Amino acid sequence: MMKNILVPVDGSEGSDRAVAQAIALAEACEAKLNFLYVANINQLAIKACLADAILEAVTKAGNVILDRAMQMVPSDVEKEAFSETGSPAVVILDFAASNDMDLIVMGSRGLGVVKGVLLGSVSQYIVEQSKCPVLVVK
Amino acid sequence: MKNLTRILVPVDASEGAERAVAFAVSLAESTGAVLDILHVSYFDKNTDAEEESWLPEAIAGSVGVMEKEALERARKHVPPSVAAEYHRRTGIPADEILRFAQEKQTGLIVVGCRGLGFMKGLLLGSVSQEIVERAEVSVAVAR
Repeated sequence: MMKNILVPVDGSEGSDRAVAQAIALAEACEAKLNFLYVANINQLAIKACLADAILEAVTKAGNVILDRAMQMVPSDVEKEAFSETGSPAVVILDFAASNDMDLIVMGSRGLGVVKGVLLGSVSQYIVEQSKCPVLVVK
Repeated sequence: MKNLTRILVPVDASEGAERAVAFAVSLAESTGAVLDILHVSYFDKNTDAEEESWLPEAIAGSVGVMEKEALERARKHVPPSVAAEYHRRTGIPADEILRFAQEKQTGLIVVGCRGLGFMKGLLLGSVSQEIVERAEVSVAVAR
């Protein structure tokens, strides 16, 4: 039975569509939605070189994206927002494994637009490596 | 998927395909969607037949056996409470699957993965990979 759905968000159009479909699915399955924003930065690098102001701005940007996703969810659906830093694909898979996610719902294209590539590199990595089912939203 | 009414599950006679059917069944139970279970053969007895097929029975016959086995193995995972239709087509699998999805106004395609390859690109299987990339509707990869 599907109890926990992981929805990685990055604020792109594709991620918005993924949120919408994940909500529909969570309603049907009475599952909990877990939104995850991954700031693509190396934590060590932040500590070493980045000023607090930059770190704050990055955190704020992530929170805006997570808030927007959370607000789309009807009140009868359980939901939670998570924020992490690191390499998105790796962090998403780690999160899914260590939190017992039953399904990952994500867009087919994230923010990084590479011409001629149909599936984003993060989505591609997750589709190939995930231990749980992955729904690629078009 | 807002109004998920039809889920397409392409199958071959593999464990990955069985997992795809099982996952699609769990979605169908929650959403009330109808399953379209599809097997595509590269060729059959009619492929080269103008009057009489030159394909020996040893080959054309075994294609039919594989098709039957694939659909039978899928059927085992579908409880009576879930509505399912079984289909067969002949052609290039990815092309036929995507064409079928368009014809039937499929809301979601559920594909399996090999789950045994450790080489990059082989984890998914080439047909599943192509479906994920080319499909105009959402695709779920079952594990």
